[in-house]
Amino acid sequence: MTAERAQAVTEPVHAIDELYRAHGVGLIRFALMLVGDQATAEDVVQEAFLGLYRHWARVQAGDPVPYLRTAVLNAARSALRSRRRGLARLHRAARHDPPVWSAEAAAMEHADRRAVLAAVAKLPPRQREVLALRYYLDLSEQEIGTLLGLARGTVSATTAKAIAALARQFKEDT
Amino acid sequence: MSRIEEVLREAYQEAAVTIRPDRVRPAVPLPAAGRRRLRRPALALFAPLAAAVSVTVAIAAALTVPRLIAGSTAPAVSRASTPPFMVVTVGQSADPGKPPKLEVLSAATRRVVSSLDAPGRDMWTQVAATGDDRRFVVILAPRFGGSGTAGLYSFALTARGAITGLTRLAVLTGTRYIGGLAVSADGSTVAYEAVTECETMYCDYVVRVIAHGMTRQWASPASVVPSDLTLSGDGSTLAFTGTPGEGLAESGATSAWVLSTSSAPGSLTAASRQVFSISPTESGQATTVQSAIVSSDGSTLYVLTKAIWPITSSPTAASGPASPAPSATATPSPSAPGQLSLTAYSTADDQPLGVTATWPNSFYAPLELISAGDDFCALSAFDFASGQPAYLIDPSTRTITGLTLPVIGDVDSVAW
Repeated sequence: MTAERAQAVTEPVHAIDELYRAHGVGLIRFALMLVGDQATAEDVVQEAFLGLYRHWARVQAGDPVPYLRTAVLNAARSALRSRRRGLARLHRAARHDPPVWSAEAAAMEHADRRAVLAAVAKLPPRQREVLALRYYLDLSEQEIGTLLGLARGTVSATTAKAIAALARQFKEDT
Repeated sequence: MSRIEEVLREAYQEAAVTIRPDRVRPAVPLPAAGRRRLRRPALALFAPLAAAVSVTVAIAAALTVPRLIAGSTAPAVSRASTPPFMVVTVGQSADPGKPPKLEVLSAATRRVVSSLDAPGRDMWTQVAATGDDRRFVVILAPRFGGSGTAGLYSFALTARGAITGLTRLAVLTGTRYIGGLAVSADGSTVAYEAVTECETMYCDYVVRVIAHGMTRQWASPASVVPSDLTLSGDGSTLAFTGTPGEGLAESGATSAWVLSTSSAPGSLTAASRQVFSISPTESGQATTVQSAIVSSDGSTLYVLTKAIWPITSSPTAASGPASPAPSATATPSPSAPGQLSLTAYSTADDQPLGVTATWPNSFYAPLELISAGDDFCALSAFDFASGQPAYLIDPSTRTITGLTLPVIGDVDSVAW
């Protein structure tokens, strides 16, 4: 361990800053797949890092990246839940951008890719999470099961259901 | 790999590269080691979603709740300042292993003195205090993703803060989510904000009032998503704020309204009177209404505004008849970003009565005004996760006291 790293371990602010520089953008991209827009994704990830800071004493002994992924999943669920529960007063602090896959956002060129992400957004939350973990982060079913607290078979079945739902929709659309 | 899986991978990759490292917001600065206070991130996390377009009109007499809470029938109960207990609802997301719960905090120590887990697959969502500082109402609803019906309950606190006498008062049908709750000081009237339908992120919002055995409902337009419900002591006047819905945030005004709860159901904005409104500037940054609260006698509406940017737009006069523009001296004056202003308005004629208090705001989360006896407390439920302070405001003396909140976690609502 370098002296710098040793100091980082004992100084959570430095260590978390280092983690943010290494993983922040990747986690924001992951969060984007769950919540749809960059501003919310950034908030979700910052929430995850704040949680890491609060629980640093417990987390630092292990690998913080799985913790951060779980925290991102939880914060994304919370963000989506807040949207649906109509807590309008909580919405005033910032503007909510359209999803990156919407035509309004004009962020993605390929219509078929936009359409498939829009379809993913309509799936149940667990299916959305499993798809993002499997097809964006390339995690194994075992890793996904560990993150989500699911049996490997459940992950496999959830993935299959989600893919089948997408396939049905695109067959119908075409 | 199937074709759909291939497209999905490609789609994720294309979406990912829209996040450019050079355009990512810098990380929130963390406090120095040893400090508890954390700065809350800018909360696009709680970004607007609602487009309320329903014009559903309903009046339901199915509920017979002559008086929702047993107790005094006095029209307005005035409490001594700073009631002994604060009640919060703690949501489900903080720790999947822990059930959602009601927690009772001592106002003196801000420590949890009792708690009650939500039963089964339900969660406590919203809580509100009556004029009796030991009686509360709370909503129990299915957890996110679950099915079932929400219920309105009452409970009391013992002298030591233990929860007792939990009783279901009404079943709240026809709602998908409930996002705000108010109860009158005399316990005769309950109001709540509900989402009746949601299509992905687009929702239809209504405000319902239960009083005298009847439920009345008003549907909100997309330009005014209701929130921050408060009732006068006798339940005759409902105050709420309006926030522009999905797609209207850049051009719409934030506003504060009053509604006579005996008015005919129908359109919320048609039945209500707008007391205060402010529109964003062309740059989209100005002052916004953060929260509002009506006084116990219903005569005064206190509006909390926050300067997001140096103010260049002026508050507009209320839309009601014979309502002159607020005077420059009584409305929030140009101020530094983040400054909070609490301004009183007459609900009789929308006239500004003066600025009750101004103070700097050092964090991002939008604040809510809740009654704390004769005083108000300005806080965000999310302060309980971040350890940010709340503000106790005495409107008569215009004094502000900072309150240290305990770090509890995912608090959904607060009653005091």
